[in-house]
Amino acid sequence: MKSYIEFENVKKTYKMGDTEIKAVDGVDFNIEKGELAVILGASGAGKTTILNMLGGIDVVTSGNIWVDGKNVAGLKEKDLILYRRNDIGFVFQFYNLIQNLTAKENVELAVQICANHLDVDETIKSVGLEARKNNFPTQLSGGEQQRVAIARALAKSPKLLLCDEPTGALDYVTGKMILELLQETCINTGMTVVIITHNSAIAQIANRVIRVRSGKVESNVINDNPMKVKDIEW
Amino acid sequence: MSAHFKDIFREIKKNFGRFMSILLIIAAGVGFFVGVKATAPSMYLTANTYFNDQKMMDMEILSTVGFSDDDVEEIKKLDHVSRVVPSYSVDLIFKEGENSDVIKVLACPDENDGINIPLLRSGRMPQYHNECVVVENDAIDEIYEIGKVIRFDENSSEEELSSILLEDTFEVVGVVELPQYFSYNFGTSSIGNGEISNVILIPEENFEYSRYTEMYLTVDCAENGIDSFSDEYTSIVSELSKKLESLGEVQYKAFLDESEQQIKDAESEYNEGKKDADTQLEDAKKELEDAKTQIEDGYKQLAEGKEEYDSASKSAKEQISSAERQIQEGKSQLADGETQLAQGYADYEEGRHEADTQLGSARTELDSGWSEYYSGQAEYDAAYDEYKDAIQTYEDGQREYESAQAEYDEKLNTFNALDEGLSALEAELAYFENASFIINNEEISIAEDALRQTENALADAEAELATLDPESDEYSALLSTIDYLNGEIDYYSTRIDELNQSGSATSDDLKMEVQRYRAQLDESKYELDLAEIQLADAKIQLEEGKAQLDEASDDLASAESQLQDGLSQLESSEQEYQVESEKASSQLEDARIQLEESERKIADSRKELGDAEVQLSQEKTRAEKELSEAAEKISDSEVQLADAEKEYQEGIREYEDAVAEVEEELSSGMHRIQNARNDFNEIVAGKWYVLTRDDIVVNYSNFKNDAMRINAIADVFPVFFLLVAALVCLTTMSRMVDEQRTQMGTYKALGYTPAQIIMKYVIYAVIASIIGSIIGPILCVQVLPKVILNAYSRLYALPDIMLTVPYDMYAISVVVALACTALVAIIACNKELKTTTASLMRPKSPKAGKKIFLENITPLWNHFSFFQKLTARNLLRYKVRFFMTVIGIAGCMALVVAGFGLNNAISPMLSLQYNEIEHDDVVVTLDKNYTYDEIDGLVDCLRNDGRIDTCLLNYKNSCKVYDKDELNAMEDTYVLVPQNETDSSVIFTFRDPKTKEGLTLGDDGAIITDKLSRKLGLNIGDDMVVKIGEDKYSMKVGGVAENYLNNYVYLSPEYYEKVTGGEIKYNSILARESETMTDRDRFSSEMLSDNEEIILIYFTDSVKNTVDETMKSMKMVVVVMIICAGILAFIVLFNLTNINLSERVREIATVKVLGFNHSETNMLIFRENFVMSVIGVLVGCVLGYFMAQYLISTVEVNMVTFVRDVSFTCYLYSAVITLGFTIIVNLFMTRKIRDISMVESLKAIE
Repeated sequence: MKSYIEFENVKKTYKMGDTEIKAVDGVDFNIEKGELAVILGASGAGKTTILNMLGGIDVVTSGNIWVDGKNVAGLKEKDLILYRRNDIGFVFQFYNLIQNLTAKENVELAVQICANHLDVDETIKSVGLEARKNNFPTQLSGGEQQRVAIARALAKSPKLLLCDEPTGALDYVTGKMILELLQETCINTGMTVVIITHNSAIAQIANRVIRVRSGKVESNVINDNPMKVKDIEW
Repeated sequence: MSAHFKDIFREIKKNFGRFMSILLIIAAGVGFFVGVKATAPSMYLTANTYFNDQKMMDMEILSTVGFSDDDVEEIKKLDHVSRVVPSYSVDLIFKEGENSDVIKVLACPDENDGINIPLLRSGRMPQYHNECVVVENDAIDEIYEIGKVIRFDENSSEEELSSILLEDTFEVVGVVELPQYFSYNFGTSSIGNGEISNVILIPEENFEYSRYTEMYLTVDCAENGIDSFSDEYTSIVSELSKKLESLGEVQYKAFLDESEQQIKDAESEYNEGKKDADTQLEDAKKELEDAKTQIEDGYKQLAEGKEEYDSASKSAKEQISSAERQIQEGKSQLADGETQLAQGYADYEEGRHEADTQLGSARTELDSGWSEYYSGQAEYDAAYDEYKDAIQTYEDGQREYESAQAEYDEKLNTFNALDEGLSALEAELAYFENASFIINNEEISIAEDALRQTENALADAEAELATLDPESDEYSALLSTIDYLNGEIDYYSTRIDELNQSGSATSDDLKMEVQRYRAQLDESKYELDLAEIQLADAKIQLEEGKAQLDEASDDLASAESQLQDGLSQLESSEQEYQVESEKASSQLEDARIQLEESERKIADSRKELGDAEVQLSQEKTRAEKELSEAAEKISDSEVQLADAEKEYQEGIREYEDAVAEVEEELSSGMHRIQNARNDFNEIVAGKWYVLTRDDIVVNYSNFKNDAMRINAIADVFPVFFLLVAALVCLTTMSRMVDEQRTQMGTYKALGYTPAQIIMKYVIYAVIASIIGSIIGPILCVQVLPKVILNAYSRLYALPDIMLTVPYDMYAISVVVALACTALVAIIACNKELKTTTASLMRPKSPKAGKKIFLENITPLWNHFSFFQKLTARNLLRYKVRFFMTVIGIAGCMALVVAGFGLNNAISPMLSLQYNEIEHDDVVVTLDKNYTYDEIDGLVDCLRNDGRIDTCLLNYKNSCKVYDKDELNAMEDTYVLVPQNETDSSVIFTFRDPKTKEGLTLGDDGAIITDKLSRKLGLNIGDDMVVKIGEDKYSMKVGGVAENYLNNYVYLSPEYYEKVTGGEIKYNSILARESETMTDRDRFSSEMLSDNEEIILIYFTDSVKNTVDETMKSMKMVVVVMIICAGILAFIVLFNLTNINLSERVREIATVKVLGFNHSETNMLIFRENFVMSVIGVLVGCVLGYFMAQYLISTVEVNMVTFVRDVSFTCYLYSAVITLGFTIIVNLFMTRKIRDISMVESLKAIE
């Protein structure tokens, strides 16, 4: 019986001219359904590449990535688009909101193409932005923008919520609020959440902590007692 | 290389597409601008060089009275005059078949000192008086081909042809180009059909004019490098022409004074002459009368002398004639004798001939006899030889027979001997046989008796025995006795046999001998028989031979006797022949002698006669001499008298002639003086006409206009083109600077000065602009002027184009290009660099999203789909980008629309003119020397011709129209007066250009065509001035009519006569053909030959074709425009879309991560592009309309009126092209969109 998410000897190499860079060099790990997993590593350790491959926005060089019994590594481009569309919610470090759309509309943008989506207003409400839903991104603070981004991801009701340094561009307090939101989402909805960060403090809130170093998995530890976000500090 | 420069080149490499798009846009913009701008100067340069090379005149001076050398000298004194060459020309008519062409005859200029040097195209220049060269035409009629002969019509001119030209016939020896006819058009003439069909050059000596008809003049502009299309040239020429006109007045006045003086001189001369003549005539008359009396005396004396002579002559003649008679008789006798002699000779000849013939035949017979004899003898000899042979054979045979006889005899002897032997033998045998038989028989009978005894004894003994005891002695004794007896019997029997046998053996031997003899005998007998037979045969043969021999001997004997007979006969014939021959020759000899004698006699008598004749002739000569001497004397005196008489007559005639001459001279002198006075009165009002190139060179101003028109296009089209290009460059550059904000911050943070930072972008821009500015013009200047001028090559005969680059324009365009790239880079960078370094380092805060005005229209906004809303927001968010794109696309669209609009303006013109405005097919030009009635007859005739549907008599003449104040003028205009309303309405449709409402020709105003109205600002009710010929008339505008080809002033006959005050003289018929017109040539030739009133017939199709050609040239230019605009549209769209895309990479990556598929992602971008394109197209339509209008009015030639409406299809085509390009460019872009990596979405905002 495979885990909900399972990496099997996944490698990713980039060719830069004559030199070959091994961004991910034979990674094996697993994440179970409903877990809040943190992938921890220094800059350039390959964690973002792992997330990209998991999210279907980058392809593996070799190996398999199993997500809910489906091998993402073997998907064709068309299926990959559908995978991104229906199974993945992505939260970017820089939010990547469409500047020309209001908060609500940004969420709608994702919903437009997704068949099995949640109610937009409900989702916005769930991230606590009901009052500001008709504001444009520039009219929102960074935390608010990230909430919109999370709402945009959640509205698609994906299997996985992938967050690439969600707090990277945010201040401490706001960052904590965002993490709280993510943890709550995980707990309340049972959604599997994968967070990438270089901040080991954040690891404490996770059910599972995967440490990555130089393209390899250093450890994959299950944390039976994840801390609440408000209890952690960094 | 510093890292900074490396950065620049990496920048170029990294974003090569952007670099290239700037480069290409600059290349297209600058190139097109410079290329089109170079066209007009190149046209001028080409034409100018050509004109200068051919030393084309700058001015021409004409005068009603011609020019003298003095005039030439006077003109030379003026400033700016470079050279003056007087020359001659005349317009004449050349009739060839149906053609009646007006030909302008010019004097061939001197190649070195001349003006208007012809350029020889083919053949050679004229060398003899009767040679000419023709000027090249676009379609040289075959009657003007090299080798053809041009004979001018005697009635070409009012003057005698011989007083104009030395020759009236010229052979075409070459084809030339003349600079003043570079437009294939020879202009008009006052004679013939008014249109010069060709120009020919002939040697100058051919002209018989006493004064030059014209003067060609060049100004010193070419030497000073002044372009003949420049304003400076124009002012020099116009100044000079004023001076020339005033000089003309002076010279003309001088000429008039001189003429008047001449007339006066002539008058006084006339009076003096008359007086002299009268006195002279009187004297002459007196002299003549004296002579007459003298002649009469002479005649009397002559008559006396003649009488005397006659009597003497008579007697002498009588004597001579009697002597002559005698001689005549002698001669006839002699002639008789001669005849006889001749007869005698002939007889003799005949006799001789006969004798010869007879003798000849006898001889022949004899000869044949001889030959027969000889052959007989030969035959005999042969027979004799044969006979001898036969005797020999016979003797041989006899000898043989004898030997055979001997043989036989021998054999007979043998036989006889044998026979004798036999008979002896037989006798011996018979005897022997007899004897032996007897002996034997006795012995046998003894033996037999003994036997029988014994046998008896035995029989007894046996009988006893039978009685005796067989064992008794006696018995044995008896047995022995029996045995003995048996022995005895055997002995006797054997003895008998032996005896028998010996007897027969002897007889047998003999018999055998006989037998042998017999056989021999038989054999011998056989041989003998055989020999006997042979002998008998031989004997028979021998006897036969003997008989033959005897026969032959007989034959021979008879032949010999025959031969003998022949010989003797021949010999006697020979003798006879000899005798005959001798007899004949002696007879002939006698005859000959006789003849010779008679001949001698005749000769004697001839001699006698000859002597007599000689004597007579001597006598006669003497007499004749005497007589002739007398006669001579008489005739001498007669001749003298006749001479005197003749002299007298001559004198009288002379006198009469002199009288007549004097009278005639006087009267003609009087007449001449009268004429001179009349002429003088006529020319008193004359003057010099000074013409400039605009007037002289046909279509010179058209050429200038064409060039100007192209320049006008160049002022609009490429400028706009350049502006669009510049705008796009501007957008591109400012976007680039925007993108590189962070980098700039980095540089600034590193301590680079703003100048250094800016330099990167300036260099980038400058490199792109400079390369583009070099490549573009290099290509376009090579191509565009050539393509455009080539389009005009059917209109103007110019040498190959000489390119000139308008460097000022080039400089301007390069400056614009640099301004739009480098300058924009500087400005944009400066703006960015003004902010603090720190904020530069931070990503530029994204432009705030905001509600757009559309959202306030809630029903509409709510109606939008999500993506439509997004598109609307996006479009309005980046207003600069939006407007740049829209303007760029609109600009291209406008260019394309303008191109199509221009094309559209040109294309339907002809069909509109000939389908809707003008409906004539045939134009008949009439001779003005015919009266109205005669022409009316012709019109009736045409009306009755089935091939003509309608015909309209009219007056048509070229004119010049001025506005009321004569400030502006319109040339290339015609005044047309249709004779009647009914036909006029069939041939012409006068209608309002806008409302298309029909117009009628009233009696209180003229209808002018719309172009005239527009150009001169004439509206209904306005006054205008129309110059027909040299007269100006004031008219009122009664209506403005739609028209496309040429300009017309239509007048009703009544109004015409009212305005001009003269009677109208119709000179043309416009006709519409019916369906039965199948053979136009036949129609023309029939009409021309049947109606002397007709000068020319032509079909409007030919005009259509000419105009069509012109318009095609124009279209070519338009096509170039459209293609260029299309290219620009493509580049602009590509660039704008590219910029649009590069700005939105992050957004695209994000939506890709969100799971948008390709088409959804593409649509996100293209929806906006498409909306922008559509808006651009719509704006472009409006812009294009105005541009097209401007272009049309600029490009329009005087002669034609373009269609003003830009049709819907123009917009449609343009929109399809522009949108098509949009789609193509977007298709290019899909690939770029696909290639955008989603990883881009994770990057920090730069």
